[in-house]
Amino acid sequence: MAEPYKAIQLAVDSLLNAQSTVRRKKRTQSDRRKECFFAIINLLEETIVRSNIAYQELQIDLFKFEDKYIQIIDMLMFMNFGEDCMDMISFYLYDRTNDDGTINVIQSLDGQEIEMNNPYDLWNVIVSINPKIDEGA
Amino acid sequence: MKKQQRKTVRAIFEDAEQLTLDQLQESNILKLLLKAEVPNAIEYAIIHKKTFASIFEINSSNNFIEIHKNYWADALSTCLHWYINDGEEDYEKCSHLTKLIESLRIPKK
Repeated sequence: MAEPYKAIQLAVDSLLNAQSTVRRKKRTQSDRRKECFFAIINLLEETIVRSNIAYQELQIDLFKFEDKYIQIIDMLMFMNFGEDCMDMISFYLYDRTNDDGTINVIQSLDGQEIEMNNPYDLWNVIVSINPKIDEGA
Repeated sequence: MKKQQRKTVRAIFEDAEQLTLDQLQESNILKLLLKAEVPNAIEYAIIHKKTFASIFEINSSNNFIEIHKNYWADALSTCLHWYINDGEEDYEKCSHLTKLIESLRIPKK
């Protein structure tokens, strides 16, 4: 048993009047892929925001410096996810939010509007485009 | 068709290792989490013939609070008690929980 969470387990037992256990589960390959994807998207977003702030407030142009790295990352993602998914990732990173903070939505083939608020939403969209991504293909 | 899977919710505890039993027992948020998730988790476990019902993940630690099938009826009874006592008058939910508890208490041949 994972002892660090003993208090949580005991609280659950006491609240529910039933015995619970804490079990540590092994991550699947799909879990690892998802976590890597979320980390990559979050880091890219942070990098873009940092570059924007540096440019707007300090007049330092980091885009020229970062451009080649971004191109490498884009190409690796293109090779991994394919063109349609890459379009969606590019939209999420660069075109999703407007300067006034409003969010642009995408429209599915059946006309439904889909708002992507975080990398989890983006993952669901790209898996809907290519379900094999979730299977580690 | 792809088999429908239930994603176990992730509960975020700040300073999880520092929390005391008293703090957790008095937490209304934890009670609400259990009230919402225990019936779903147990129902999913019954349908999918699982031995353990996975209630929630603690932070993103990959540690899950689970309940063995021997304790499902007790846990559901507590949830039913909460639904009745909290005065929500959610008769549909109460009826559904009662049926689940009864199905668990019928001895299997």
